[in-house]
Amino acid sequence: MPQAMEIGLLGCQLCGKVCRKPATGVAHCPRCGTQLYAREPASVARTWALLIAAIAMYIPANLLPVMRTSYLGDDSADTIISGVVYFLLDGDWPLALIIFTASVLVPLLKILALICLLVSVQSGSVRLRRERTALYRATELTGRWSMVDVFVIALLTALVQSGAFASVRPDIGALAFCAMVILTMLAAMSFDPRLIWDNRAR
Amino acid sequence: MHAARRGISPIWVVPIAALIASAWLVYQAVIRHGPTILIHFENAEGIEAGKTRLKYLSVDLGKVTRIHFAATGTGVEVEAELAPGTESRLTETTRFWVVRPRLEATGVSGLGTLFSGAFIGMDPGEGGKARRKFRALEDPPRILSHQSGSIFSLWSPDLHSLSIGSPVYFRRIQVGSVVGYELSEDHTQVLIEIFVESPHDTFVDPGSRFWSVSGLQVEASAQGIQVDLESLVSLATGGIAFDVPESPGSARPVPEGHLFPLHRNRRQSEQQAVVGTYPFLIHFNESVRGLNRDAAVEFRGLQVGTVREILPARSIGPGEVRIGVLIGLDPGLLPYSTDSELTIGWERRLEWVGRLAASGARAQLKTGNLLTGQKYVDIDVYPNAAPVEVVADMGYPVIPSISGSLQGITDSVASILSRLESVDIAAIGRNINAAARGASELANDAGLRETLAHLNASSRQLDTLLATVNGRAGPVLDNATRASADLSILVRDASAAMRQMEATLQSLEASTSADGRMGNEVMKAMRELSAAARAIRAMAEYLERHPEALISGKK
Repeated sequence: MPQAMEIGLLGCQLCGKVCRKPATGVAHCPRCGTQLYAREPASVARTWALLIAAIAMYIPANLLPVMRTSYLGDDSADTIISGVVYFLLDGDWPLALIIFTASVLVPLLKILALICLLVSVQSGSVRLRRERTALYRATELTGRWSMVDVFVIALLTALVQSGAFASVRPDIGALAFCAMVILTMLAAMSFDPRLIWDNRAR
Repeated sequence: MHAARRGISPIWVVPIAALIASAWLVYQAVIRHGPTILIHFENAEGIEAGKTRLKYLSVDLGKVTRIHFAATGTGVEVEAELAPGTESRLTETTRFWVVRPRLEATGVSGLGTLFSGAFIGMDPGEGGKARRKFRALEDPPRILSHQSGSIFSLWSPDLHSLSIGSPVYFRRIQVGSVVGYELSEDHTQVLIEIFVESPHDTFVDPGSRFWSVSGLQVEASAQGIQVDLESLVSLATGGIAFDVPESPGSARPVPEGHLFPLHRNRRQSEQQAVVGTYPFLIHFNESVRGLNRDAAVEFRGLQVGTVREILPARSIGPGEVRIGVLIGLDPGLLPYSTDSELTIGWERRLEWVGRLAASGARAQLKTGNLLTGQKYVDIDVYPNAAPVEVVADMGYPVIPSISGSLQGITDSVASILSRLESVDIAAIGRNINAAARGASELANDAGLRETLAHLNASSRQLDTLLATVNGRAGPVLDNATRASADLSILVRDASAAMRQMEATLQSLEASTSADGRMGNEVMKAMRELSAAARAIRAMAEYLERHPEALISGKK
């Protein structure tokens, strides 16, 4: 099966419209005006860079407290893991599972998936191309759902503000977590899945 | 494509920045730990691992991480992790204590911990060797290191009603508090430490007087009844007040380790300071009722010491009991003093008492206040006092005593009574009885009655006689009047004669004085005249006595 690039066609990265590649110059999508590339320039390098940044942020996001609650003068800080442990010990294991999946497991899997994709693309692997594409689509989709924790903290901070009586405020870990999620999303976006299909001659 | 060809894409700034940020965050939170310390507590009440905080001035400095029993001895050891940067404040002077809600007489503290749970208070030290193991205080410290002021030491025979935290007043303004007390090494005094806040501490002078304002003081002493109340707080908790003898600006610094005496009350503090006292004993053979501990020992009204103790009575012979009174006396305040030798030993003090006694000094119990009956010991000089031998008893030199003034009166009354006792009142009674009986016999005697009847009759006759005389008195008086008129003429004539005679005498005198020729005759005439005059006087006297002679003639 010939590739689109080979028969002079370009797919718009944004709206998906298939355009004919002009002989010279830069092509623009006639529908949305996005600059068209056969392959995203420096996609692998950019993805690597953002992914490394995300991994760097993953450590403080899980080690540092994300939320600081003060209740009647008693201050306590919670990390994501301590929150999961708290719910688990409390017998609320479904909630613990959700938090653990959304906040710890999913970002980790995403990072692993992206590493997997990048390594396979760079090594020019031709195996399981369909599955890898499906993996990429899943990675891109689940990205935004990792923000559940951040939403919870943001909500609590807004709701529980009773001065000295009780208050909740985000801690530095939440910032790191947020940065980590955004960086993985950007990394996933900067990865060009069309690279999976290159290197047919092997 | 161009960027890639040129080498490094600017996108790599992102992971580098992320790595740096992440590393810094992790370093801050995990790698850069503060110091871990061990605090020993008597018990772990209110302390929870992972929850209890350490605070200094309400600032969170760390958290308790572990609690376990002390490896040696009793109590628990609490492991706590402190914030980074606190290392320099952990020295041997750093103090820890548990802050719990506390209700004390002086106020309420730590109410915030009612809800939040206890926390460990910390007072960072200043200087000293670095340390990581501490022993927590039982109670919160009264002075935190950031409070400036001075600590002064007082001594007192007892604690009065003071407690830790009792206020210290200067002109009735609270300027500090009691921060500690302990028994002295020999257990004879209480040493009290007070903290006076800056800048009031600069007013404390070595001459400052401290007195207790504990509670309500009603005191009956040799000076009368005295009621004192400093403030309502001190009524409940006790307190200390002080003043300065001179103007505040001239306060001299208090030397290190200076001990101020804590007086029982303001009045006592204003009396002459009895500085160093030594024990002396006085034996009294009389009742010491009304003599109290701390009663004054005075020398002619100047306080020179106080009564320290009244010892139990002891028998020293048949019918003789004496009571020893131990006094603290400042020999420097008495005359016949002395030098520093008194401090050397009681033998030297005994010598001093010997000199004192030889000069006639004697102790005496005196009543200071007749209303309350309070007594004091008076030392005075009695030059006529019988010499005594000065002895020591129980290791104390004995100051000789004489019985008290009231005692003297009692003694003389007793001696009068004893003399009266020797009089045989029964015999006197018997005699009186006998005399009365005799009188009664006499009164009942028949002869006496007869005599009295005769006497009655005689007086009646006398009455009759007098009535008769009265009846005849009229003519007699007429005669008498006439006689007296004649007499008056006679007297007039006599007077004329006298005048003539006077004149004659004058001329006579003139002649006699001129020469003594007529002397003898004159003298003879004079003698005759004198005889005549005597005759006239005799007649006049006779007439006076017997006027009836004018009628009846001389018998």
